[in-house]
Amino acid sequence: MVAKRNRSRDRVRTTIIAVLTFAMLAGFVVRLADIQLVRAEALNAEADGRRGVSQTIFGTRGPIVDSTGTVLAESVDRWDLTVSPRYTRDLQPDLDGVEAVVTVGDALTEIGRITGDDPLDLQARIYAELERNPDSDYLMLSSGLDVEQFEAVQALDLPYVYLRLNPQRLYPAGSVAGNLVGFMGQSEPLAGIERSQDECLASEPGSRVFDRSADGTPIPGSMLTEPAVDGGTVELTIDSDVQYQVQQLTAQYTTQLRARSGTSIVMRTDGSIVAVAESPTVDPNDPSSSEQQDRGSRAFTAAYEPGSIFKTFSFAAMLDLGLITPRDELSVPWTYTAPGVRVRDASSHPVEQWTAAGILVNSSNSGMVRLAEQMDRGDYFEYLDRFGFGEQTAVGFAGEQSVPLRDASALDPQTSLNVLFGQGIATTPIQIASAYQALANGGVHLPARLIEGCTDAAGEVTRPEQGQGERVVTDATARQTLEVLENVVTDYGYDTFPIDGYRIAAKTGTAQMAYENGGGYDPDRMMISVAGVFPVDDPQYVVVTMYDSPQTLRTSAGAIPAFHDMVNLLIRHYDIPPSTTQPPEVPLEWTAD
Amino acid sequence: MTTAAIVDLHAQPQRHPERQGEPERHLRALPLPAIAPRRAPRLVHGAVALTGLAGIVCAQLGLSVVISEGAYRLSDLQVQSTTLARAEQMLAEDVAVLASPQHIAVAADELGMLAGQPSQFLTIAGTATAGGPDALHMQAPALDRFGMYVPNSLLTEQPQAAAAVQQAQVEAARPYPGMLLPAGESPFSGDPTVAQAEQAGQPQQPQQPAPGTLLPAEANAGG
Repeated sequence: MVAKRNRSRDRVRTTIIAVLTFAMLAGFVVRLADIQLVRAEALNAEADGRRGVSQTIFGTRGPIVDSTGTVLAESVDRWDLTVSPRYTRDLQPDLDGVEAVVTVGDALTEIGRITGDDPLDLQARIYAELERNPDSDYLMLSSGLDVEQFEAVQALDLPYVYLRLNPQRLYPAGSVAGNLVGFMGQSEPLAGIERSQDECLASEPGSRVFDRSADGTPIPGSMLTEPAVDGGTVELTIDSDVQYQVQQLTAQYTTQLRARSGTSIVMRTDGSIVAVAESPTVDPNDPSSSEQQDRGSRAFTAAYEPGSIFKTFSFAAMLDLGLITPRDELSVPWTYTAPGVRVRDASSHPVEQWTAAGILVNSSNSGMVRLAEQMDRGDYFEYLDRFGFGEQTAVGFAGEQSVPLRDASALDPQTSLNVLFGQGIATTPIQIASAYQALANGGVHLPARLIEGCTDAAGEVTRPEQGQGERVVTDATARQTLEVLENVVTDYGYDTFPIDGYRIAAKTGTAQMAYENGGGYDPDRMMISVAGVFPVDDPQYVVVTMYDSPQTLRTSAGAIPAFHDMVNLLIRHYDIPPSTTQPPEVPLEWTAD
Repeated sequence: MTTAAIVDLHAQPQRHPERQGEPERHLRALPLPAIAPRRAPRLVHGAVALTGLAGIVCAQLGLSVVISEGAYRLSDLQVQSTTLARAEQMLAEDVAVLASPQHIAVAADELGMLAGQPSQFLTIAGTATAGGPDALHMQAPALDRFGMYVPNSLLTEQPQAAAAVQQAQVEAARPYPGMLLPAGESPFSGDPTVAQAEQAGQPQQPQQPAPGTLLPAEANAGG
């Protein structure tokens, strides 16, 4: 009887234990699945958060250098000084390992001494932040701390201060090429090469994940590093020494002429740009100190009606088409009238016995119109197109204007004459320089270049796609045009123009400026300019310099000394030897005998 | 009876009465196997085992100490490397700013340096030298009272350049004889040393063209 009862109790117990065991096992399995599979990600993240540290490794944005390797823009480490307002407290000797009590006031005085801020101002900002939000954990007190300041603040060892790395852009040469290099905003590039070459310059941030011990030391073997990729180096074609000097000359002449602005371009015969100077210009270290309109590069972005320096291209086109020769003889009165059209020279003169060359040298509008009577405007615009007008240069500068050419057949009669001497057609200064480059290069137009190449962090060099050159005019036409233009330098009546021993070809221009609202020409504004090529026997450089609305000398004579000085500077800088040939005699006038 | 019978059913089987007392047994005790007499454990074995264990523990301890010390050293060296990289960057930054064209121009001015003469060229055909270019028409200095023509805000922190800019500004603002001044201001009230210098009759260099003067090419030819 007793044994039987015992046995059945045994069985029940066994069953209960089995059930319990299975229940427990099932519980564990469910829990395991829950932890390992269902909530794995969240739990891992939480664990990493408690023990693991994840740091972003900032790559360095690539530098911008000139053709000689001089750094124009680079990234440097700077730090932001942030505090946790709610944890600001006086440091106690026993608690914080300091020798004596360090009050918040003491600390702020020290910080102020390091950063140059007013400690009372810092204190007021902390109070204001706590007033706004008593639990505030973040307030930026000061930004842009350099290495010395960073180390000094770190040495203070204040528990409520956190120094956050915030790399910044530095432009060691200041406003030298500031118009080209551009500048950065808080995080994104805003202008110039910084913007157009961002793809090359930008870095890819990496990360470092590791577990840390109680004192912050990484636990061996737990470190997982994904290195950052630094940005590439952009090499420009400019020469910063020449850029500086051309910039200085442009600024000095702009001041002397009391002009609104000045722009100068120096280009090599192969289309690469040596210098683009603007005045006023921008110091990328401090762009906000310049006016909005001075922060870019007018050479690329400000189209204007070029005026007489454009006659060179009409002349070259007519020569190339075989419609004229430099020795063609014409009688040129100072006006030209036909039904519905009227063209006048800049000043009245009696009927002159000028050759075609003489017309270009004396910059006669009515003479140009007479020469071009046989030229089809469609042909002329094809030449302009090949000279590079009507489209952006190959530089593709941020904000560059293209100014499309108009349809030649749709021009009204007056405009179809005006386009011969640079009115009724707009160009950018860089297009002018690029077109003169074609004449300097034996008639072959090469794309303008500002970027030499991009060298990435691994040392791989990428050169920008280089368009093929295009023949605009024959070699003979280019040479003849330059030979005629030599007479502008020697026979135009300005002894500030020529440089003894050097053959220089140049054309002056005094362009009228249209009102910004398009309502005709502004009588108070004009653009004086000189564009030229030298040495003519072996062309190496194109120089264009122009000044907007000069007040002290309102004719192109104001720009002539500037052009002279820039050519002079290039001769000195690059030790260009004097010309070994004499310019050929090109008759400018004729007599009927 | 029934209960007794049922109980009886489950009763242990009784031995067969006839087999009782029978000597034959199926199970016999075998003789003890000849096992070697168990020796007492030797002390040395224990010692070896314990020493081995201790050795392993110590080795592991030592290894982890070494590894963690390495971690500290690595961490230290990384901190040091970062600090040095920072110092290097700071110095490179200083050099880049000091090497900027503006600073070089100002420093050269300070030292009284002038632009060098352009190169002279010899013609192989003749005996003459073909001179380089003539002088620049622009005679303005790199600094004027508004500061540098090509500014560099980084140089405002350079004491030498900042001093040069300030001096240029002071000099530009210095009154000269015949200068139009606001009513009630005496020309020599500003800087007593200047007044003294001028009274002492220091040469005024009248030949020097005023800054910004346009000069004809001939005036400078060969210069």
